[in-house]
Amino acid sequence: MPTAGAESPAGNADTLAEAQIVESIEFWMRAYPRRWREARGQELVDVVVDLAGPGAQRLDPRSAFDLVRGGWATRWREHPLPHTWLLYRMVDRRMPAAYRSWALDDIDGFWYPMRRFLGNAWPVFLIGLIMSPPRGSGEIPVTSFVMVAFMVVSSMFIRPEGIRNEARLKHVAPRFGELPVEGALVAGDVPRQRVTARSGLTWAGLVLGATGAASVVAAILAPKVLLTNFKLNSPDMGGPGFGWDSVVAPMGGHRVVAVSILLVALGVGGLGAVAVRRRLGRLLGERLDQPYRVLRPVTASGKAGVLFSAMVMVGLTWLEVSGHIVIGLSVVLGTVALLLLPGALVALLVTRRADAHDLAGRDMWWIATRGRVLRIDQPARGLRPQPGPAPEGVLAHPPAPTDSPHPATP
Amino acid sequence: MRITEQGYLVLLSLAEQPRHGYGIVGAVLELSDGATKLGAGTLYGLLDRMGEAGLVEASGEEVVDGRLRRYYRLTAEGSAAVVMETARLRALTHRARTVLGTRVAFANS
Repeated sequence: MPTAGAESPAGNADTLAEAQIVESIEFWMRAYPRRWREARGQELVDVVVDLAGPGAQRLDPRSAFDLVRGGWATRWREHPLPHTWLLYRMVDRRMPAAYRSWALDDIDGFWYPMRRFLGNAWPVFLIGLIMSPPRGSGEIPVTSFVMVAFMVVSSMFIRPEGIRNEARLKHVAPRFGELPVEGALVAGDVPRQRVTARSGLTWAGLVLGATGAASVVAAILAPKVLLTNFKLNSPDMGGPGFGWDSVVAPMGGHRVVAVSILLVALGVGGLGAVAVRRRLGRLLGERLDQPYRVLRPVTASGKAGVLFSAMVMVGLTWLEVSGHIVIGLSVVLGTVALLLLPGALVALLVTRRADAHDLAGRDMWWIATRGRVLRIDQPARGLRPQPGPAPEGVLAHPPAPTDSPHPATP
Repeated sequence: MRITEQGYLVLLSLAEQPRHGYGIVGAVLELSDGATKLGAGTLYGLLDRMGEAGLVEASGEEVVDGRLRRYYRLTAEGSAAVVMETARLRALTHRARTVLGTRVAFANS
């Protein structure tokens, strides 16, 4: 027998409507800073749901506008003052304590590595702008734009987590002389993060495979090659000496050389894979317990980095195949990729085993390349919440009248 | 901190008793005779600013029907601020009556 409440059709409809409006509220609430949402988001959502009334499925435009306005006003109110922000962004000046939570949000943001790069590299861009050809000279600096864009995008993928960790330690950790409050983020030993072998090798296999395939296409189709002739005491040099000249020539017989290099790399990689399989079979059982480690899959930044690398490789191949540049770089990169690819695929197959769920990619790399198990990971330096009142003398405390000028020196 | 009309109404609603967010909106609607319906974004902006100014503070929370209710109350500074603002408004009303009374007297003469 149907009863009123969550079990009845009306109750189910209300539950569904509430889920829909909560989704709508959470969308508009993104206008608030991340730290604010974490601290008070649930409370705000519940108030908005109450205000919307029972059965409401979407937020009305007035309430949505009110949330967006409130969120941006909060961001504006908590934003550092312009000169503080400029010094932080452009010369990485340490953020004052009042803006630490703002800095933490900034550092944890997805685009932080790029913001930091743009902020720090501005003198280079300024010099480039000053030295660029004057307007009307007819030259369009397309190559410069492409190079700058490449550097800016690349900045997102060059050790983003390491950059974030260093920035957190610099800008967010309390300084000497401050009172550590329970729950505040303080510098200390934290578990070392490692990428799981399965996730890491899957994405490494993708980037190696894409690079190898692109290099083979370039070797088969590229029309131009750069030939360099070295000369020693040549008669046309007008005297004794050493020199060389380079000419761009059709591929001709050099195509066989390029393809052969890649095939040999693949063959050597295959032999290496056999050795990798043997090493993994012998040493995986001997690996050590890792008490100071946490495993995580490849981050969103890492995956985006793999896709970006693959796109760069496709672009490079297109430049070589279309004859805009001579073949060369893709063969170098392809050789490296094809040397590593078979071993990576073999290691990926090993991670499918039931007892390999706690393997880090670094364990596999260490065993495959060195033939011995990885030593125990040491904890990393990072930020962690202060678990309780700080023990006397471990962290700085406010000076008492009887203290010497610099108490609490560890 | 300058107290706006909306801020004054929020302080006034908390003068009676601690209230949660939804309760404040209802009390403000009643106090303003239906003229001021606070949106959640506006309310939490006011609570943030008045919290930073030390006029209000959180006084506990509970979960009712699966909803988080965080209660807010006036601090001593908040109570003093609402009393002072009320006195200012009373003085303003007095002056307004005087001005309007003079005008009515002129109109009748």
